[in-house]
Amino acid sequence: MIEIEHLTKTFKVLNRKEGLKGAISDLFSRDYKYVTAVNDVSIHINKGEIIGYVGPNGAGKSTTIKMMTGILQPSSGKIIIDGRNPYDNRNEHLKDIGVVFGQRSQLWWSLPVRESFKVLKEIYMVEDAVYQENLKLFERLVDLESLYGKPVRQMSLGQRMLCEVVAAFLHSPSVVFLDEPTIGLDVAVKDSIRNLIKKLNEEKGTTIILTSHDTKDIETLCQRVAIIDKGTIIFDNSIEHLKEMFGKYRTIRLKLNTDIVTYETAANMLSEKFGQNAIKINGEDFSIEVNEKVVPVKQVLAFIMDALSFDDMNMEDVGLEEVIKKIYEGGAVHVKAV
Amino acid sequence: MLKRYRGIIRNCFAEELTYREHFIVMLLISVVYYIVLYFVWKAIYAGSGSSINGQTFADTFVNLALTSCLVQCLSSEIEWNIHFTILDGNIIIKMVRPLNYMMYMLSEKIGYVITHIITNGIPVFLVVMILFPGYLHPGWNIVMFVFCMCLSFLMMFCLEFMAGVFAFYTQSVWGISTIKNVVVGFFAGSNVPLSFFPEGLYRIAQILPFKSMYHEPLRMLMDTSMDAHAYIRVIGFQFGWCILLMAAAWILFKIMSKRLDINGG
Repeated sequence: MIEIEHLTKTFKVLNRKEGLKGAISDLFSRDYKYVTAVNDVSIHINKGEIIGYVGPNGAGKSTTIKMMTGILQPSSGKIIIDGRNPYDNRNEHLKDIGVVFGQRSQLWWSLPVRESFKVLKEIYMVEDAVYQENLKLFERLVDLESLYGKPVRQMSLGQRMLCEVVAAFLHSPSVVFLDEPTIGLDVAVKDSIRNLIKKLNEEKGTTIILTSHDTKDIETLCQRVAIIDKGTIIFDNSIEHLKEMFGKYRTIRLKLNTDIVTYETAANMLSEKFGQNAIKINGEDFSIEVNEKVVPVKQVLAFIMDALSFDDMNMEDVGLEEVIKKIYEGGAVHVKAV
Repeated sequence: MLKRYRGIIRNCFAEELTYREHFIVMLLISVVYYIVLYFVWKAIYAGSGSSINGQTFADTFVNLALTSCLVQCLSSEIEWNIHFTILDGNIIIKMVRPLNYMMYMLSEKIGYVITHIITNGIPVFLVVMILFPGYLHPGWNIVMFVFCMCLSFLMMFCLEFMAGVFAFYTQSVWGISTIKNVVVGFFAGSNVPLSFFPEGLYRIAQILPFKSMYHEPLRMLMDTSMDAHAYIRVIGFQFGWCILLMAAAWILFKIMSKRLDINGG
């Protein structure tokens, strides 16, 4: 159970000037500005939930996570994780969380991964029985045994990330923070990482806070997503809800039989029939974006079948990626829906 | 409690051993160093008779070899480890462990120092005992020597840790590390012999702990005239400084952790 109320973090930064001259005068400068990285964030996360924490680069995701791990002290507001304040009860808190940073390694670089696991076992004082049981569970989920003897520095990024994720679960923490666990991985490895996370969450009931720029991660793993932009939470609800809020958009792609009908006349016919509100036509690949709030896609299809002659057609959902892109591009528009 | 740090010591030591070539080169370098030291002083003595300043060639060589050996064994410059993890932000990995950061760093230093003792410390002491019999008087004083060295080690660690933690604020450790090395080297008398110091500076050097870090443990092995009283005085002096430095390091760490922000996303 994680409760975050009105969390704010402000950094004091020096206003840097340009060039060498600027760098020299910066040495004596007292010209500070205050940057609010996280502004009045409130989230409640239930036990066992996987929540996607997304936002553009520099939105304040990492800062929030650093505060939740107890490394940074909040400027104001409060965080309570399992009844504890992470910053004040840091030692107790850290025993009970696991962390994966996609850009950093927590394993001992030149040693076989087995050695890293052993040290982690000692650091977290994991009992032998629990340790063996966890290893067995991991082996069931991914094929790791062949990797145990391999030094981390010789592993591929994919192999290493699997080990990193597993290492974060080794002491059966109640909360795990995964900060871009799939960064730089190929499709197949991304898939096995997602599988691993999902299974670990199911088997151990771990609460997982996941940040990622790959919306596929979010879509396959999370039921709920919180979007942060410029330090404020602008959306916090289910993925379904997010898609709905932006209208249920479907896209129809047509390849017209141009001997009979030109793209221009087809476009005119469609907009005349349904109006600008209901459909938007993108000229380049002739894709028709249908807003299902205004007109059911069935109706548009029926019209196309009836009135237009075409060679090929396909239809797609608007993915989470499109929706999130719309939110980012719209800036900090408040679409808060709780 | 301490069991949690055992693995870190073991891994740091194992990491040093992993790179076999590096390990062998380290061993070779120390062998070459002592050979050079030997012949340089041999040449100096060949030019100026059997005794300089009342010391024979063997006196000088044994003293220099053992001192620089202890210097090698104690210094691992842990501040540079701290420096690099601050620069690339990887310090967060160490910070999210349920460990005391100062103890964590101490464990790493122990891991490194064990390597130094094996590649440098033990060989040099053995060679000196075989080639220059009569200088070292191993007996029950070895226990005192080891204890004394542990205190020196802790003091050295505190100095390095303070230099490293300072980088939480400055983001760079180079300047402070250099100052630390110069001050320690100067007052330990390893650059200029202490007997050359003017009266005032000599007094200061006696009060500061740096001289006793190397000089006193060695005296325990070499000077048979030391009585119980002398032992207690030396250890008491070191113990006091040790506590003082540890407190200072801890306070500095507490202050500096407020200044730490983690680099990178």
